[in-house]
Amino acid sequence: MISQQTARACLKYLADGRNLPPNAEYLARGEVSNAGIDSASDWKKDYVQLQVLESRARQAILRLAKLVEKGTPWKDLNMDCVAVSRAHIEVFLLRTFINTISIAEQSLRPILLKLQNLVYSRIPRYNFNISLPCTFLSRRWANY
Amino acid sequence: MITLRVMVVNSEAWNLARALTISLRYANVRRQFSSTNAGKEDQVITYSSVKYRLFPLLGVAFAYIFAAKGLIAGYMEMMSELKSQGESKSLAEVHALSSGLKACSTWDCLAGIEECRKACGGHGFSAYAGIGHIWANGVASQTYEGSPTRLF
Repeated sequence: MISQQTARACLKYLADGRNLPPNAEYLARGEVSNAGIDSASDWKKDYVQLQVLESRARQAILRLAKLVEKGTPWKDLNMDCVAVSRAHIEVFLLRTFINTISIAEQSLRPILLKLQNLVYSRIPRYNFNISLPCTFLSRRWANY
Repeated sequence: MITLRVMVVNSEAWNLARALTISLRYANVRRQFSSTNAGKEDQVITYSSVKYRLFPLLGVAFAYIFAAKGLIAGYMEMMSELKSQGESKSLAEVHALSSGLKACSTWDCLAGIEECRKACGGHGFSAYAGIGHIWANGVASQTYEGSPTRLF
């Protein structure tokens, strides 16, 4: 039976702290008090979007780790694992998108950037209450 | 199972892209109602609700297509290490990424395909539209090779 694979891996990354794979390096970074968001247009900046999603993933993993430390039975943490895994994967999705744009043909970059912002500059619409099982359903198309 | 999960991420991303191609072209051609009461009815794609529902999905499709390419590259590197050295440092990471991506991509892409079908109105139900076929073939991918709540 496959159980909460990605969440368990994230917990191991957190416990290790040193030999982090490239996609989990954000765990070693501290929180920033201000992600450089002063206006609505700042949400279209790569580093702002990435910082916010990385912060979300860090907080989700830390929260899960605290619940595990408290002795919460693993089977009661299914939806917390869903939140952790989705947060970690969405950092990977955005990072890959940014890297792909950086190596794309010059003529394609403006349109790819618009597509990136269509998805990720709408981050303020996200429901960051990660304890809700329907977090990822409450954004994008389910909200109209 | 890692191999199949990597393939599933790629195939569902492209299935969403196919469904989007159908629904966006349909929205471009289909006209319904007019805001000016004169001349041709308005193209459905000019309605804000259609843009709101479909355009972000285009970004989502590209995000998963790019992620799938990255995952495949990581997987090939892992396999190369396994063959040459008998072990791979990236096995655990590829396993974690492929599990989470398989769960996210199947969940998001199938929801997106369903949204594409709905955006085509009654014509979305038609076999000629092709979206129902894409959805029916893809929906099982949410369960095989690991169901999402388990994989997450």
